[in-house]
Amino acid sequence: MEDTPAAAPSAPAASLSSETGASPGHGGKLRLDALSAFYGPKKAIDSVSLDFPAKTVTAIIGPSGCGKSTLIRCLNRMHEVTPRATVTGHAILDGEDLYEMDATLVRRRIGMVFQKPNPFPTMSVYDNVAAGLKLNGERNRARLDEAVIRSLKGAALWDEVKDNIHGPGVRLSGGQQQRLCIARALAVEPEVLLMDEPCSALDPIATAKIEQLIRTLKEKYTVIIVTHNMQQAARVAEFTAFLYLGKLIEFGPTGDMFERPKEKLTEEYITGRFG
Amino acid sequence: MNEGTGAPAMRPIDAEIAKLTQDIDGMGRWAVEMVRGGVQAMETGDPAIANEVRGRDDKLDAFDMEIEQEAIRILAMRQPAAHDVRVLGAAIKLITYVDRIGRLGLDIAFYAIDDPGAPHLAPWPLLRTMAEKATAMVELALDAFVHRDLAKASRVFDADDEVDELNRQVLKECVKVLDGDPPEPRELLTYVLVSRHLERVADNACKIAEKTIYMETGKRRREFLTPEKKVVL
Repeated sequence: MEDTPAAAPSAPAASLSSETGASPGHGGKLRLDALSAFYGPKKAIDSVSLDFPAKTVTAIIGPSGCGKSTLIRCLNRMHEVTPRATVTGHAILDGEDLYEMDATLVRRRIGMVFQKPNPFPTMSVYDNVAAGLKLNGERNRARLDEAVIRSLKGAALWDEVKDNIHGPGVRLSGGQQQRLCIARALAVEPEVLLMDEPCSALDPIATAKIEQLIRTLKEKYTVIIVTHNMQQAARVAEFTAFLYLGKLIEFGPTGDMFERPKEKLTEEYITGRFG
Repeated sequence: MNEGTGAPAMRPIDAEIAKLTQDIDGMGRWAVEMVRGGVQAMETGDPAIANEVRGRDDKLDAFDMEIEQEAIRILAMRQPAAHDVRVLGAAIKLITYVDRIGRLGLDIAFYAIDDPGAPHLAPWPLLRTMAEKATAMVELALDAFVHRDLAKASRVFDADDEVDELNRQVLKECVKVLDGDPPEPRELLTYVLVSRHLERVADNACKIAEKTIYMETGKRRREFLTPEKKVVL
């Protein structure tokens, strides 16, 4: 049989260490450097360092209570809204420390979509999407119209709501409501989109639509998605981070993570041996 | 609930993979007997033994189809990852290698049927040794797979070098005999073919060992090669 000598191991596409910089082929959009998060004295995130490559989807997986949601709430400074919650370390967006920026500006640049669709209940589809822009002082009707249409198209919802855009947002189906929330997040033109289990309340068809949308969104945005569904991570994310007890156990290309994880804990989690 | 540090929890897929592993082992032993039967048929010139090998072919096919079906079912139902998915990937590949091994044995049996009772010429003992080593390699590779034993997998490659050397010796001996204008040149052509078949049996054993290495480590065999092209695990 023909043998070839061992090739030098290739560099990992993404790294646990912030010191290694961005992964090849993708600029590091958002970088965490020894980020820890606390609820009072309790440490929920323990010195996490990693790069989120630009215009890719990164999934964060891990068992309940491992700190997934806390971590992404640190990324748009939602964590600090909780009483007695604190953060140490750094989260760097394009070279700027998020914690030295104005929190409102951070939330405009880093949008978030939550687990349960939460359209503003008294508002129309149009007003739900325009709400963020109006809060930022936009009053020009033409610009608002343009932004609403662009955002609804970006969220793959336009064709389904264009004939009743002034109807109530809460009349939409669950999947449509979630895409409405995505449109609302897109309206303020964020650079990073955080999604906290965006499909957990949806049926498989609505989930498939959101997943298709996520794959489209990465052409323009850096997407970070928390998910309990490992098949979903495998379907949508180029990179996956596995958190356990607040620590980052492993981070790498999703294919490698699911086929040959480096860490025993990752192996045990993704093969359903615990969690 | 196991929290990741205690004894691994038993999952439905564990029993399914254990059964699949057992079935592949059974298919492998079945195929090895086909090779041994083919060589024995040549050795004895007994067409009954050759026909018995032919009769094993249907069950070899059945093993192939049933194991493949079960592996696909587990993939669809359990959506495995990590070691589990590597085992299933290996299983689907292994049955192809094992099927080829069985068919090589079948071909050897057909040579015995085509030329029953042919006298044995000088290179025959080398072929017999080759057959012993090649079939032992398959058994070793199957053991490595069944017991997830990397040391055994690595020994398969060492044995392959010996079979390759025997193959070269058989060819050399056949040429030597042919140069002496033997009364049965056709028999020597069969020897060359059988030698090639046994070398292929050994190669398929190496493929089984290769897949076992990937299954267990997530790394390819070439990643364990020394500059001398030895596999060190």
